Parts: sequence; C-alpha cells; structure tokens
Amino acid sequence: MGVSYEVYAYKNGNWNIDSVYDDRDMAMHEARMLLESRYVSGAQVIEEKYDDETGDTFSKIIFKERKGAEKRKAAPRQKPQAKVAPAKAKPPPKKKEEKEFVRYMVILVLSVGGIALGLIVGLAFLIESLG
Amino acid sequence: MADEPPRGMERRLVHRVLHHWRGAEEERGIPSLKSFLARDLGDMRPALFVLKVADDLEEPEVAHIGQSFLDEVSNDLVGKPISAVPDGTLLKQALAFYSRVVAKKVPITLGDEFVNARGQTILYRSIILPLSEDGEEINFLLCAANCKVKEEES
Repeated sequence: MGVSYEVYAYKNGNWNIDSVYDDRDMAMHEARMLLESRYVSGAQVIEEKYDDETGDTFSKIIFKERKGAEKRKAAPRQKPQAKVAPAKAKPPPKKKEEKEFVRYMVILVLSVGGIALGLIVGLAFLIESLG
Repeated sequence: MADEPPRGMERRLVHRVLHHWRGAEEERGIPSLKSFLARDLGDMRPALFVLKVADDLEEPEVAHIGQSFLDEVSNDLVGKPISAVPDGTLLKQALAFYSRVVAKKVPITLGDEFVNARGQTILYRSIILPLSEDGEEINFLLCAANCKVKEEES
C-alpha cells in the first residue's frame, strides 16, 4: 500500500494543495512552516493511502490548524469518549436549614407569647386599678 | 520559530530548496526560474538541475545539470530529452515523477533507493518544483537531489 502526504494551505477562503511528500515528518514540518507565512491562514495534512491491488484510496486528515482558531493537536483522531452524565448538584444541607428554621420559630413563638402575656398582665392590672 | 527541520542531510536540502522556492513564490503564485535563481542559493546550486517543459515538446528537455551530477552523466545531456538520461543514475531516479508535478503544479518530494552502475545501493531524496514565467503555465521544473551509499547491514 502506497502512502503520500498532501499539505494544503488555506488562502483567501480556500484550501489549496501546496505540496506532496512521501514522509509524514516532512509533511508535518512543512505544514507548520506554512503557518508562519503571512499569506497563509491555515494548514492541513492529508494522509493518502493507495491500495495497489484494489485501486482504493483512503484519505485521513492528520493535522489541521487555522490561525486564530483553537489549536488542534497533530495526533490521530481519537474515538469520541462515551458521554458521561453530568454530576448532580450537591444536595443542600437540609439538616442545618431545618435547625435554623426550628430555632427561628421558637424565638418567634416566645417573642409573640411574651408580648401577649405582657399585654394580658397589663390589661388585668389596668382593670384591677380602675375597678 | 517552527520546529527544526527533520534530521538528515537529504531532508535538509529538500527543505532549503522549498524555502527558497516559497520565498520567490509569495508575491506572484508559481515563481519563475529567474526569480528563483536570483536568490542566494549558496551550496545548493551543485545539487540542482532544471528541465524545460513546453507544449511542443513530447517530453521535458534537460536545461541545466548541477555539478554534483556530473560524476555520473555528461553535460552533453543539456538540450536533450530526459529519455536520454542513463538508467542507474541519480539524475534518472530524481526526475522519475516529474509528470505528477506537471499535473498537480505543486512541489513533490520522494525518497527511495536504487542500484547504480557500480552495483552500489544508493539512498536518495529528490524534490521537483514547478516554475512558471506567468505564474500559471509550467515552463520549467526545478529539481534537487542528493544521495548516499547505503551501508551494508552486518
């Protein structure tokens, strides 16, 4: 099976073939060099495998980078990893909230109760003094 | 600065030639022979040869042969078709894929090995680059090649 590496340059909104290599390292090096040119805004390397027996050609992008875009690595593509369900948010600390609530209610009852008791005593004292 | 060029003298030649070709190319598409040769090519010149391509030619003609090829072939080949280049020479091997360059209009580099007239196994790497007077039609092919004798495996 024959292998060649085609380097493409992105110029004026189009991918154009730039050069052809029989050596992966040379192609990768040239693609990176191309990216330094002010006339080029992206570079990619396509690996072409040709099966002499069947005549089939297999192409695969092994490097692709655009200036200003997020850099992609030169390594072969990896299989997408299985999706992982997002971690559930931590449950709120219920016990602590409940304790705060109970404490609040006790204070409220005692306060209202105290005021009511004061009013009743005051009222009784007033009736006693008037009567 | 980009990565260092791949190791090996044969690869360095290819990258240097390509670098100069790009330098001559950048403002007008495919560079001309004149603009390429006007550059400071230094010690690369002996490793270069040039083929002339024209519609009225059945096959390219040898237009120039660098000094480093003259151990194997004679300067008399200049002006003759490439079929006159003897087999078992670096020159013959280095130009073998010229038609792909004419078709694609881009530089192509290949490395391989062959057995020369002395029976030695030669490792070589060559590059062929298109040259054009008008930036589009191919008029010349610039070729560069170097080689070394393959060491016997013990």
